Amino acid sequence: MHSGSSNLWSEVHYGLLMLLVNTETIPGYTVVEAKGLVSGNTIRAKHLGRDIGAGLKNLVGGELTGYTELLNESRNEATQRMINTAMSLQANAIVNVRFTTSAIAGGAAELYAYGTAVVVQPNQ
Amino acid sequence: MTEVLIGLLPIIVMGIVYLTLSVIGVVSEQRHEKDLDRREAAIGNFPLFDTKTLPPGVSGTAGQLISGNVVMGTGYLKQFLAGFRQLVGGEVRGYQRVLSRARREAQLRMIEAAQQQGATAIINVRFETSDVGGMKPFAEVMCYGTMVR
Repeated sequence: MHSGSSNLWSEVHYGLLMLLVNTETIPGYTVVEAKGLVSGNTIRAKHLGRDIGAGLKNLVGGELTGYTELLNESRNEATQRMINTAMSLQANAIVNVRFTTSAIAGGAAELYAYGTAVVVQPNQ
Repeated sequence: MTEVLIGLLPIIVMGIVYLTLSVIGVVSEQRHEKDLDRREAAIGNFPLFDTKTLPPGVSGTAGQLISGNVVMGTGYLKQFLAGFRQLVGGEVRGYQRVLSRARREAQLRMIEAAQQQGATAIINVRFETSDVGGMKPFAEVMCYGTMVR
């Protein structure tokens, strides 16, 4: 598996604790209660060694694997924080999940995940 | 004459280094494109939709979020050429090719991860591109959607 394709939240949470989708409804489920907006964020600074490594890799161009992993891990962290908030609201799913990434200051990026926490029931 | 050559030596060495790295960059770009072609052919026609619901005729339940991402650097050669392009304006083809590769790679990773989990289709596919390099031209492309099976 490629480094950029791991999905912590789906591996850990699939069908067990929290359903995450970026659609407004979940196929096969009915939303019975909306708990409101939940979000999670994290700001990561780049490791100096990784930064130098990426700088060298960029002499050639192409994928910067260190950064791909870093952003993937950070996004999973932000998602996990969003899931924790939803769990504290007794929700079992988050619909309409959105991600944003912004570069703030030099060398730091903010990863932000947000969505609507809901309670869903499987269709009979 | 010899003194001039010795004085120019660092410049010549740097020139050779940059030239070699540029050639490696061009070759690796072509290899990546071939790899993308091969993987896309292996996947075939996986149903992707950017609509929020499944279109008629496609069935699936149990939605779950799935994503793929990649960070790509342009390389110094393209950065250098883009500098010239910016003097006259117009399309920066070097960068266009890098972003196309990044977007295809992110989409492929998303599909490959979805297939591993037994997905039959992905709906509400979204792409997000962000600048993560500060002063350097590094771009992250993330592709995400809701997979159904």
